[in-house]
Amino acid sequence: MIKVRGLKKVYPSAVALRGVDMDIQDNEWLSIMGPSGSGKSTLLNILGGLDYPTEGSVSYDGKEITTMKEDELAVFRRENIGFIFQQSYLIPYLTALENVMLAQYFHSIVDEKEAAEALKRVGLSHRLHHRPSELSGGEQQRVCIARALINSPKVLLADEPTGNLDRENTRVILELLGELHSNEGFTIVLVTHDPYVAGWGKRLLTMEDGRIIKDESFHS
Amino acid sequence: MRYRTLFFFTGKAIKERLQRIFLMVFAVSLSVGLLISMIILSKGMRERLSEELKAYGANALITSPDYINEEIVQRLSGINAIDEVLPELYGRACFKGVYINVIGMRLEDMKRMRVTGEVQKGSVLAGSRLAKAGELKTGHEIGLSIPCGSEEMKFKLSGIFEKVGSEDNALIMELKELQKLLGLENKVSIIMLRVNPAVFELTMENLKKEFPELEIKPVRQIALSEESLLKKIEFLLFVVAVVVVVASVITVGGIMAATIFERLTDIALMKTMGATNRQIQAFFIVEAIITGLLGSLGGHLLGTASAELIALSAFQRAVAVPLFSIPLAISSGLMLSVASAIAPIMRITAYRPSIILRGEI
Ligand SMILES: Nc1ncnc2c1ncn2[C@@H]1O[C@H](COP(=O)(O)OP(=O)(O)OP(=O)(O)O)[C@@H](O)[C@H]1O
Ligand SMILES: [Mg+2]
Repeated sequence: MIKVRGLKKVYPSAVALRGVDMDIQDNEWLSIMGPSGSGKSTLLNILGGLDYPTEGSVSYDGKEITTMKEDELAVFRRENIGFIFQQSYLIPYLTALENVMLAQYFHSIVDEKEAAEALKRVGLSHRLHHRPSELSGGEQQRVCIARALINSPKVLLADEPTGNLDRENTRVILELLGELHSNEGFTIVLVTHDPYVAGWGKRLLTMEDGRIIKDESFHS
Repeated sequence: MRYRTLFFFTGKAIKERLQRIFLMVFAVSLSVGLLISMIILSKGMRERLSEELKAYGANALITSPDYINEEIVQRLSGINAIDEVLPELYGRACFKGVYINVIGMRLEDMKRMRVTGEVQKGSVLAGSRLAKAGELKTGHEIGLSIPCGSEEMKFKLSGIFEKVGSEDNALIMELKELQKLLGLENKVSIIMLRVNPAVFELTMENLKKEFPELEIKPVRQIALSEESLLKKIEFLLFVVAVVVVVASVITVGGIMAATIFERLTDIALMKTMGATNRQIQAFFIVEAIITGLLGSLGGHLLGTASAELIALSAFQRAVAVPLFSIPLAISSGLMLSVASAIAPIMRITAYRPSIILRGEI
């Protein structure tokens, strides 16, 4: 379980988070919506240990991460967190397979077969040796998903993962996420501007001006 | 296994930016090359100078209208203020019907000369000009007689030496053997001395008193002026080298910083994957090491080639490349590229990934 308490993030020029409290259960699929500048990305970055809050605490199964040193956080990330972003950040000079293997390298050791298997699960077994520039936007994002999940993280943090995709590719990605989510049982926290995308989650948080103003659960 | 993977990913990164890497290797090569050529040249100049002074640092010369008795060598060697005593005997012997100059030296004193082949007892060395003219090769047998037509003494030619001036036309043999050949047992023609410079004047006075029958002359003037000229040239070379090394540190540092900052998002991305700073830095350090090694190699080639070119045009002669120039090139090339990589690597890994991914840098 992820516990967030009294989370604040103050920049010299702006206040991004003004006190966020929330609990995220294991295996939950949580969507976060809200206007631009409401603090969604800031919250996600702090959840993933990419940034430190000004105040407040974030704990994973009772383990506080906001007091960890940078190297500890790096180890925490590689063991527990997978990220996907709106832009499909891939290393341009590595093939799809090698991009996935790089995540294995930082985690432990590379295993080409396992990496190829992960790409097969996102439907890219025919694109293993293509570079990012030779892949479509949707395919690139699927490589990112394979990479984010290669080390079996407990939590997948996704910041507008379909923001650059058309409806059809968005659907493909979400179906893929849904399938992996129910097979592998990781938690998803997904930030989006798109109500259709948000609808895939079981719970929706709405943010405004650095606060959570609505917390809804859907039963389906 | 882990290192293999590290090298694999670094290799990919290098292949992607060959042009940059080439530029960096070139910059490292230039400064390493300059350093190496400077060292080879100044060492070559010193050797050259010492050859011309026969024994480097000889600063006094003892001559006599007649031959000098060898027991004087013994007495001179016993004087504390004299560091080196180099006796030589000059004579002429008949070789293939013509008289040539023969120089007698002690074996240990011969080691100072530039010789191909070994200096051995029972053998002679030939000056390069003589060797060329007589088509003499190491291993040939040389028969000498005095006077021409009398019974020959056989010597093996064990090497060729190079010297400037008339000695190029001479043979060198062991002092004792020349004395025997000439029938001049225990005689030498001149004695060169290395007198301790601190007590030079006093020692010269004392020598003149002790050996009134000999002519004792300082050759200090020549030695000193050549030495100070050499110092000036070396200083000039050093200044030029410092300027170029500083310039290339800046250049290499700049290119290195550019290639590292180019990969800012890659680095942020690696951090999101849980890479520690050390893991990321390892990539760049390996890249810098490879660049440094290639640069050292290129620098050594460049340095020796330019030193030889300069030596050929200035001294009309190639200079020896000292063995230590290789480790020196490698260490200076590595230091240059790794040192200039460290600052940008530290700076870049200090950034929080969230800031980079927001596109603020
Ligand atoms: N590194 C930073 N330095 C200064 N201000 C920042 C920084 N990061 C975020 N902010 C500010 O904090 C606020 C929240 O930013 P954040 O990126 O979290 O918003 P968001 O909800 O993700 O918006 P969007 O939907 O446009 O992505 C904004 O006002 C933003 O300008
Ligand atoms: Mg955002």
